[in-house]
Amino acid sequence: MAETECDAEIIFSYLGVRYKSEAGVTILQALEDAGVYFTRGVGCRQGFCGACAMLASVESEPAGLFGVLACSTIVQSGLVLTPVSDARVHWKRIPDDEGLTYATITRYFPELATCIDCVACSDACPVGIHVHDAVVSLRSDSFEPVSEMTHECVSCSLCAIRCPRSISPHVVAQEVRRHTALRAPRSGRLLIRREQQLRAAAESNFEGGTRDD
Amino acid sequence: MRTSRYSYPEELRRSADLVHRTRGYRTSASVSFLEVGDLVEAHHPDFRTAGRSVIPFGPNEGQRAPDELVRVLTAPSLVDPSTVSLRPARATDILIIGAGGAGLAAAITAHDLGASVTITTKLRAGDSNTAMATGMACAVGESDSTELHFRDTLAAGHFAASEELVRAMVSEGPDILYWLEQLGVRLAKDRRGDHRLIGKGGGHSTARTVCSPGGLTGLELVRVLREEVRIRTIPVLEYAPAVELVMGSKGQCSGAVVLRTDTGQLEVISAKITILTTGGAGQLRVGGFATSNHHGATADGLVIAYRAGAGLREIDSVQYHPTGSAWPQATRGWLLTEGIRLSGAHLVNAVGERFVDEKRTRDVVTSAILRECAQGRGIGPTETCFGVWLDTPLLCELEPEFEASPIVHKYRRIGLDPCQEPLLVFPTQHYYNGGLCVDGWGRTHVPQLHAAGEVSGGTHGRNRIGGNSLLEVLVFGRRVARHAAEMVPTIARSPRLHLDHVKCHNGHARSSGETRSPVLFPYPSASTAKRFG
Repeated sequence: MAETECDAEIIFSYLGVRYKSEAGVTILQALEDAGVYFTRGVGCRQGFCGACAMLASVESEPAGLFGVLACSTIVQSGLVLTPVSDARVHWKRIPDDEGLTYATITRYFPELATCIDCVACSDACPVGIHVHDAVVSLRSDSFEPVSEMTHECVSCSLCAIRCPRSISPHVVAQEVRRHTALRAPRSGRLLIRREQQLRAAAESNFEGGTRDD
Repeated sequence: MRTSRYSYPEELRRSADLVHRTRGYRTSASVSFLEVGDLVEAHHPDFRTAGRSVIPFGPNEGQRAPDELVRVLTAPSLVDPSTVSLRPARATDILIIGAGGAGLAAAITAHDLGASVTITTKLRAGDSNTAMATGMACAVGESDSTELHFRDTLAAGHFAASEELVRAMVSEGPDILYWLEQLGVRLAKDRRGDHRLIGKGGGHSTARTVCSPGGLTGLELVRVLREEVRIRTIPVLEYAPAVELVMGSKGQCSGAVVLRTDTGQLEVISAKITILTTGGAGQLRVGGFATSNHHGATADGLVIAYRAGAGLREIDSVQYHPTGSAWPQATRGWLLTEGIRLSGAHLVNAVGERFVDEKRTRDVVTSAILRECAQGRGIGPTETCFGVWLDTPLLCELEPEFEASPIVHKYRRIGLDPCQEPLLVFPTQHYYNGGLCVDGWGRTHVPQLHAAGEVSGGTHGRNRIGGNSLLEVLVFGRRVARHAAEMVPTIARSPRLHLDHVKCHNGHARSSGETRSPVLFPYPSASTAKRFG
């Protein structure tokens, strides 16, 4: 492929080791081509699961940390990469019967109230969620927009890793999504279908049957 | 026009321009496609004679299957049974191997029925093909019924599926959807709370695919289920794939040998019932195709169960999804979901024409693309056909909201804009239609060894319709766990564990080459054997 900007050899670093790569491939492809054998830090290989999340910077500007998914980011010269998929944060839950308000959320996640609006979380997100906007939106008790904004979250923890106040925005977002979903109107048709099905199952007395090999 | 970092090279550029130029004509002209006839038999990879061999031993001895599968089924074991310490490192009532949709659903269900459950998985809990699924088929539409869903599933699978399994799957759909709502899974709904259904998929006689916003159904499901497992503090062993099953004194399955991939240590987990939820085989790349599958989809469950005496069915039937991304290299293996075709994106060949009704079942559309390539109407030279075009700019015109979809974001991140440029697509290995023979409770031929999800066969016949995989993993994950939890009190733990079946297998196994199995990771199996063998 004669693409001049891609002809140059690419040199990047992963876990402190420098690798060469051809141009136009993903970070994951570049590492596998170089012989890295992944037994962790890789998952769906197409940007859904967050297993290959990496903290990245560019050699020329080491201060600017950002997040990438190795499976769906093109490798570039000067990238410095550290995998983070096994960074674990404390998962908490807001009980189902709690009303969903900013006051409730900060009772369970008190650190949320200490946010200094530094926007590091948004810069860290490898799928481009405006995490900080979502945090701001929580303060005005508007939860449906938060659910929408964060729906692409791959739970990679990069926002939490970068937060100077130890907030885990992805955990808060998951609870907000769950609570808004629990409060969504229920389908009457589904309830009827389910009733019919349960009744039919009780009558048919299905025993699991046989294998038709 | 937006300048992409990826501009198509000259020969593709000219071909892509033809897609732009013919768009007006294609959308105004009414086309009727020739009857499908023997298209599938003539062009689907399942019907190739090359690349198949006869399975030389075991429950399916004498049957033909793809070489890639026969190789892993018949290779010597990754472990040397004489060196494995059979003293269990831990014991559990129910051992669940694999933590995708079926494994997580099974764990939650069995735990809630009071059984002690342990999950062991090769990578992280939740990392799976389930996480990538775009929708779940469920008969909740106005004009739909489980009877209709039942018939569609059987017909699309060429009547090879087990009626009992299909019946069980489709009837529990509404109950599963209700369960998901109870858990707080975020689903696309209208104002009254009724579910918004993705357009009528190939093989479905009505719209019946329930989804989460943006088609991120599997992701949302996995996030919620994983959290449910976590709050129940069910033990999950990550980076611990099962490499063999262990047997008890009466020939029953009594747990598994797991490999800690970080240390290379083997340990035995003793269990009264073992549930295999290890998923599919995409990373074997049957027929040399790319795959849309997860890193871990290497047929481990099929391999270790086969050795223990469990038979397989529809062993040669693989689903190729018609629209896998074929260019640029960075996107190879990405899936362009069926919804894109259903919403009106055309498939276009090298002469700027549509060549198949894009809304047919996956096996038909796949075969049609392969036909275009074989007959010189594919993009690029016939021998190294890139595939055909998927006219995504047309879809952006028809459905402006497509522009905000996750898949468009993903392409734009690598520098190609699907709303400006059509995409090159080629069939990609997507799903293993076959699998372990099971009954309605997931019981395999081996006592106390159950299976649920893609590793089991019989629910889809020889071709799966879209949305039935999510339904299958949840319905059977829960069914199998319910049955297992009920059986646990009646089962005594085997006093003696053994790996005689592995010794016997190694006696038969071909020692040719360096393949040892399960292969665990999608790398040359020699390197896996060197690392862990």
